[in-house]
Amino acid sequence: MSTLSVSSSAARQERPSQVELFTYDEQIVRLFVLATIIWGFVGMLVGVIIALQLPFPEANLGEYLTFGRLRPLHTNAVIFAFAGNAIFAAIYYSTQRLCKARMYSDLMSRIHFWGWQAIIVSAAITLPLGMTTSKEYAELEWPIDIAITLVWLVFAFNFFATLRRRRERHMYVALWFYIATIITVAVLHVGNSLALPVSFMKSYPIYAGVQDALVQWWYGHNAVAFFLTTPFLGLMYYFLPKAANRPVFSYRLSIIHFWSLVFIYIWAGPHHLNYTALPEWATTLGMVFSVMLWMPSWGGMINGLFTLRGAWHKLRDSAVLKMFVVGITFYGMSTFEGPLLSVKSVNALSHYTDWTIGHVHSGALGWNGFMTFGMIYWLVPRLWRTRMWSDKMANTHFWIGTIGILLYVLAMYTSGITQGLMWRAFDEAGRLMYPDFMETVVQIKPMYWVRLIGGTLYLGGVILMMINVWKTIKTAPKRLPDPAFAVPKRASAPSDGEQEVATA
Amino acid sequence: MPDNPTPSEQTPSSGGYQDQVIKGHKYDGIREYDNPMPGWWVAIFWGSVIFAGIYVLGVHVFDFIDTYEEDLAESLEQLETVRTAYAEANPTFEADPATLAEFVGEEQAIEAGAQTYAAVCASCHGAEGGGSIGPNLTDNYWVHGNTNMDMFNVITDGVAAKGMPPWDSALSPEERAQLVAFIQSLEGTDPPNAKEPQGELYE
Repeated sequence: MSTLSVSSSAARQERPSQVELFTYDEQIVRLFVLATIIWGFVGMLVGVIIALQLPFPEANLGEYLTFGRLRPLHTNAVIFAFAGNAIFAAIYYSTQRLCKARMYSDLMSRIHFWGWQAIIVSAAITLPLGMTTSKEYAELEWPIDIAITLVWLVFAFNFFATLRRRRERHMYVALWFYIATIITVAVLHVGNSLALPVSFMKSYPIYAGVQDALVQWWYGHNAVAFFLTTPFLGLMYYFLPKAANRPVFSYRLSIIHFWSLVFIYIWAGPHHLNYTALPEWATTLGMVFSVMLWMPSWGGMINGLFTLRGAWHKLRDSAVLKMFVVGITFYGMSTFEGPLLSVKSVNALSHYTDWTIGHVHSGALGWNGFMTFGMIYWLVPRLWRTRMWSDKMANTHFWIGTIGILLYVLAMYTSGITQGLMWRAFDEAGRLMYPDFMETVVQIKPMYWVRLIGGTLYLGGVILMMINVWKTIKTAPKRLPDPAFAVPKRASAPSDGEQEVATA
Repeated sequence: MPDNPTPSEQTPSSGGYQDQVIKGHKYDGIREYDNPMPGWWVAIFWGSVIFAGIYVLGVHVFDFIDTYEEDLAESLEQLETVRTAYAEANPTFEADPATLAEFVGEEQAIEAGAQTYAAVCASCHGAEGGGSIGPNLTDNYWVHGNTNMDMFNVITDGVAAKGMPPWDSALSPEERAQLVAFIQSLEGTDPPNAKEPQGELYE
């Protein structure tokens, strides 16, 4: 997409009546890319602060900046602000191209963008103030929940109207993953957020007790599935073959792993409630569906990595491909680890320990983070029509980010398994060896410092990216007109028939 | 938009796959191969589905895999065996005013008690016994009595209403007796920042 080969006047002269011209809205993608970078920095900075607060409690400042208030701010910022804006950038860029159609409504795109940013700002204000539903990853109170629903519906309408107006007969696999994302997130968000308001910023869920817990983890696990997995698989299916310039490994695998993934994922939530008041049959169901989810998840990894067959040499010079490969590899590792942790006897050791924290960060830092960074380094020179300011800096970002993730997850695995083993240890008299919680805290404290170093390195990589993108944008041409295309005027054009043209 | 086939499309196969590009599948320049799903992938997928069926039947129908309750009962039984064996090998210490008196004032007992105190008591009663969440242990005021036996019982059973946990399963009777010896040794030490008196005065 980087070359604009035919001038528009030439195209019009050749085929004045048979072609229709259309443009892609790239400004909206630029906005989402910038929002991704800014919120990514904020969310990860808060992550580093709370990582410091655990081994160094003196860093809990005042009422509003304690671990308990900042932790949900960190998770919401990273998931919904950083990863959220990243998937919207991916969706707005690729959907228009895969449909050969501009987004249905520029206004709706702007409502989506500014609405989403307003929701993030309201989260950043209300969570430190202690306004929370206390449901993990769904902490925001009811007025914000309603705003999320409305903005999401605008996004959905805009997306499906664009699909309806597409100039491409078939829908590429990336679009299926976007469809699954948009529909399921709407259902999950509304289903889990049903609550009775008692005041402007306080509500109580309509579910009670263990039913509330079950609904919460049906939502929570599928936030991982349909906010952090399916849209990122869609992202991978578009940006990886583009960056590697290779055909996708297997169309058949993409169909089977898509349908098996979306069908099986939705049942896996109860594995978060192993060894709780939830009836055992429900946790059994959650466990076996999690085990069956292993291969559908790996289908995405295989299709990603095998697409690179014959193109591995390109990794040497491309920070984009390096990041994609590490991202996909972490996806493979955490989707093996997930089924493993869901098995009841493993869960008996891992539940409530830092192993869980290690697991989510191998997914979030490895898969979501690196897929996003890879996409940004691929998109920024194309969106701003220039070269990346420093490839060397992008490579440095890749290396310190990778070392950061490894330090982070290894520290958390060590600390998690230490906790699990200490909590279940009995002495020769049959008494608990470590009856005091404090004993495990003292034991794992060094690992908290290692985690802080890992997180700081990762944040350092993001700062390098911010500088790099900023410097790149400064070299961009002043005017960035939307790219224009021409296709033969027909109801559905064959995919090979387009001509790329530049706007005057 | 390069329309030319990429180099691999001209090579016959790669890694045992035919790598045939599917005609008509071209999305913004992205093509797709018509490769089959890897055999090991299909095999493990089916394997996991079969495992799921066996596991569900095993736990909930034919009972050849333990449920939570069975697991718990089994583990408790094992623990009981360990505890019984230990109790038989180590004659139990029976706490009464006479046996406790042997500990109080005994240097070794006080030293051992101090270590246990630092590990489990200090967080609530202060490092030097001056009290913080829990009462001051250095003055002459006691909420639940000041005899050796009173203290032993409070340590053993706790005071649920006031947040004092029971220590009978975490500390052996000897360790609890050593604690009594240590606490009795604190009397009158008057550490800095001690808590105000609570309970009744015992002369």
